[in-house]
Amino acid sequence: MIQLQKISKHYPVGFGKNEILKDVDLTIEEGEFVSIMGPSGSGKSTLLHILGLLEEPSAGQYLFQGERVDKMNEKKRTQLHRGAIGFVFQAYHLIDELTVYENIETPLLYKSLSGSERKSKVADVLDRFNMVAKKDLFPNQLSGGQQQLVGIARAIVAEPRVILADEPTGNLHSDQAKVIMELFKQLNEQDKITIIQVTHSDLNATYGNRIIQIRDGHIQG
Amino acid sequence: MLLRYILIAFRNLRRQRLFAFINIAGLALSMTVCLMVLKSTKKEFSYDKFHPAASRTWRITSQATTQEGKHYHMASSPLPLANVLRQDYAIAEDVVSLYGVLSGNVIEGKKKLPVNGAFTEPSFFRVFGFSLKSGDPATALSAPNSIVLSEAAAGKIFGNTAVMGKVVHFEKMGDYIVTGILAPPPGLSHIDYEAYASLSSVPALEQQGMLPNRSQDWNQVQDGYTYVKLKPDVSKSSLATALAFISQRFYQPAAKGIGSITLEQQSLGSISPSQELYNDIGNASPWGKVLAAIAVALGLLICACFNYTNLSIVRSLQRAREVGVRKVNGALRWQVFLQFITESVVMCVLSLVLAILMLILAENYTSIGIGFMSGEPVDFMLFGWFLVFSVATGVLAGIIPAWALSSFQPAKVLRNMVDIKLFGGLGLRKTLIVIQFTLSLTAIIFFVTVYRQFAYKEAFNMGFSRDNILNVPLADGDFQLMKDRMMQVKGVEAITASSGTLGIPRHSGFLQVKTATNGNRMQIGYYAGDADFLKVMQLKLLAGTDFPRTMSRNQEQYIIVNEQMVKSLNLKSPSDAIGKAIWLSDSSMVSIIGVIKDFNYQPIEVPIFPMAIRFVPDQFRQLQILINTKDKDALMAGIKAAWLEMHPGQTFTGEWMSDLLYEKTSGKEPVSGVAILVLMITVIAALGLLGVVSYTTFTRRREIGVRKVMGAGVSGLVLLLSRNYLRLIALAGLIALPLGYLASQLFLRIFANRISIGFFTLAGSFAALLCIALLAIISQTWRAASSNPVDVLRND
Repeated sequence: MIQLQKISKHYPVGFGKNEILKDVDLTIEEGEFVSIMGPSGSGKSTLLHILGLLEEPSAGQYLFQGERVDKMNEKKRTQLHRGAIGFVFQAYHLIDELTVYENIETPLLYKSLSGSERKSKVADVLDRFNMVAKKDLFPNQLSGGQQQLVGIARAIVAEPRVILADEPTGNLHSDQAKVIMELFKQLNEQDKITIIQVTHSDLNATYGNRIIQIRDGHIQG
Repeated sequence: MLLRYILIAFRNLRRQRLFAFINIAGLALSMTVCLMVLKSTKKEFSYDKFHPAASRTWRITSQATTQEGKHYHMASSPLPLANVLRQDYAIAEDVVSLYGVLSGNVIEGKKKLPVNGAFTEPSFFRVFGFSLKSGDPATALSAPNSIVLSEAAAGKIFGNTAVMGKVVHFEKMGDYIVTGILAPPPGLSHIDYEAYASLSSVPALEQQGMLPNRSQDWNQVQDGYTYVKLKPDVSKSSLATALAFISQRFYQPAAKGIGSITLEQQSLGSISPSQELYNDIGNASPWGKVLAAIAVALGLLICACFNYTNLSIVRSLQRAREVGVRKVNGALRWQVFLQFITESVVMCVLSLVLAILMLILAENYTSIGIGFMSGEPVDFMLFGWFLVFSVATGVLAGIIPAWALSSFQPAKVLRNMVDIKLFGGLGLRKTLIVIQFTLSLTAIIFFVTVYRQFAYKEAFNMGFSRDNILNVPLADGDFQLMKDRMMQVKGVEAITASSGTLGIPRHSGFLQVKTATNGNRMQIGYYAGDADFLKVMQLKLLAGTDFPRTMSRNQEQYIIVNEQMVKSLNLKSPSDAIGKAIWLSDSSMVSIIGVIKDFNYQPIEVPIFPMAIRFVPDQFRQLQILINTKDKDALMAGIKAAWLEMHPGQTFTGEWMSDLLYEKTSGKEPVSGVAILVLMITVIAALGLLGVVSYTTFTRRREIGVRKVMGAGVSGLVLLLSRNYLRLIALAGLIALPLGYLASQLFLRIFANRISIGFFTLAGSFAALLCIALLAIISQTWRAASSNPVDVLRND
């Protein structure tokens, strides 16, 4: 499903350049649950951003579902964001001015679904995550774990093929983290959603079925 | 989707109260002015829209060149033109001529009422969209001495409107039978007379000498107006050609010593706003005024938009994450762009609501017009314009921040929010602040100059007395009899009869004089006054004597002139002038009997020109009564009683000369108008600065915390945080001081007697602005600098 071939990424720094990723080759099959691990500054987040089409690689090829996407224009990239890729962030990144319901509804708005379709999909997700009672609250009225649940609900409401999670439990304490990881596992097994997470935690990595170690921009082993 | 955008906009407004307040207050203030201007502009452009074939109707104007080579573009045209166009050319469907000289008093019973009317033809009702409430438009103006009255005039003269067939008796222009009452016109028109009499009455009036002989005179272009409704298939150029032929046929080309006239056409739609032709009729504002009002309003509005732009950009750090999240969730750039534009439009529509409220309050509860208030009611059409206008403002204000915000790359803003480089951020922001304060300071300097000049004008000694003088009209009857009667009132010291009040614009008359020796003609101003004029006005004789008490009332013998007149007669000293003969325009000869010291007989805008005081009892319009009593009420009552005794059945209107001068020449209105604009622009700029300082200080709170932990003191921090803004204000001052100086100089050039713009005006204005700016800056930086560093450092 995802094929990276000789992907490199560097940023200009002063007169030289700062190499983040060097010749990364990676293949991820449909339905996998992959954990990317590595120390700070090793390039994990950059790799995830490239996978999520938020950044363009400096060199190399990226095939998503068999299609070249590394040099895609904004419009097509946005199409993938709308349909195929969902994001979960460490800092949740919910929109403060929107209620739980409205936050979850946002991706559907941009997919221009009809009002009734949106309603039923959001209702399904709320139901599934047991958040119906909280749907009219604003993010700052929720605990961190609940906010991340909303973040995940928002990521899956548009039924993506793959979820990219950037340290999804980084801001949570362990009980909450467990709930979130169980949820990812469930999504992976029941809904067959491919999940790629960046994590520092060995415990969290055990929920997945494959671990990729990255160090100084290289994939180890 | 749009609903969602609007919802978010409202939630944002609620969360960011300071931001919302600054923007809405500034926008609403400037929009109020814009709405006033929009209203009055709409009125200015709504003239003459109701005529049946407005696009085919033209007014004929005259380009007149005088014998001296002076050039005038007159709105009027010679009277015989209409018949020539009708008879000799086949281009016109209808021609109408309008002869605006039917003005004078109408006598009805014991009442005397001024009526302003015109002579015209039956085609008037075919060319223009006026209609009759009663009477037949085809015949109402056919027969000689028939007249059509407006409803207001009918009410004024007869007290009701059932007046068909009654006789209107003009004091000096004969009797007319009412043959029609005008229906109220469906819109505004530059043609706005109270009465229209048949043009066929004019020949008889000319024969009787009641009107000058002009109906066949091609060289008189003062009071006739000619309108042509072309046939549908005739083009403008045919009319132009016809007019060129007519000009050639009746006039020689202009040359030295020969005056000439060239006829031109002006479309009915372009008459208002007025192009300031000579002799124009109607009360439309000139283009210059319309454009100036629009410029002022837009200037204010742009200042308020700057606030929105600035604050949105400063605040964009707080919105950046939201943009990133939206893009990751599938939003395209234009969708994010649209969202931010929607927010600014919502802001502007809210401001519009407030502005409309302020407009209603301003129009109902204050009398301080800014010069362009109009009584025009607000209709749906106008309301639609308001709405369109506020949406356009929203787009204008929101376009830069929306562009900047929608350009954010999600990967950057979601990962690391600190190092976002805003699109032109700092430079743009600084530029906008500098522009605002430059405008504001320029306006303040201008205002101070205007205020000082008008204060100077009020205190200026014009060289004649104005206190304790009561003006009473001299309607008819003999001035000497009136004087004698009034002198019996207790408290009256002296009385003079005069043609007008010194110092009031357009009260002086003008005449051409010739000296016997060189025969050169020159134009001088004059007042008609009697033997007591110098005494009551306290004008100082330099040579010669006052008018003798016994003078012929019919034949002018003597004239008193001022020093300027002596100079322009090329005489060395005032005493040389005594006894010199002067020929007046009507070629009567008078001799100079006295020379008076120069004084400002016209408002001080104008320098002192040669002038004269003549003894012409026909032109006496009023008595000016000098009093010597404290008990003004009793005196007023005595004078009123005496006056009513002489003028039974009329209304007494006495007025103190000092009050009249104050009312007609003081700068109260322009000063208060400019003051309001200055206040608005300064408030808007100060609010904007307050907002920007508040937000940037907020974003630097961690730096402040760190510095405090390192041992920085509050005053040092305040200085550090304020320094950049002070530099901007200084830069604005650098630009605005010369600009304000120039603008003030331009204004002062209107006045022949003027103040000089001193160092203190400039320095004081700058100091005032600096104080306001400091207040805005320090209120914010002080708060930030004295906050407890632990609070900010812990939260991060």
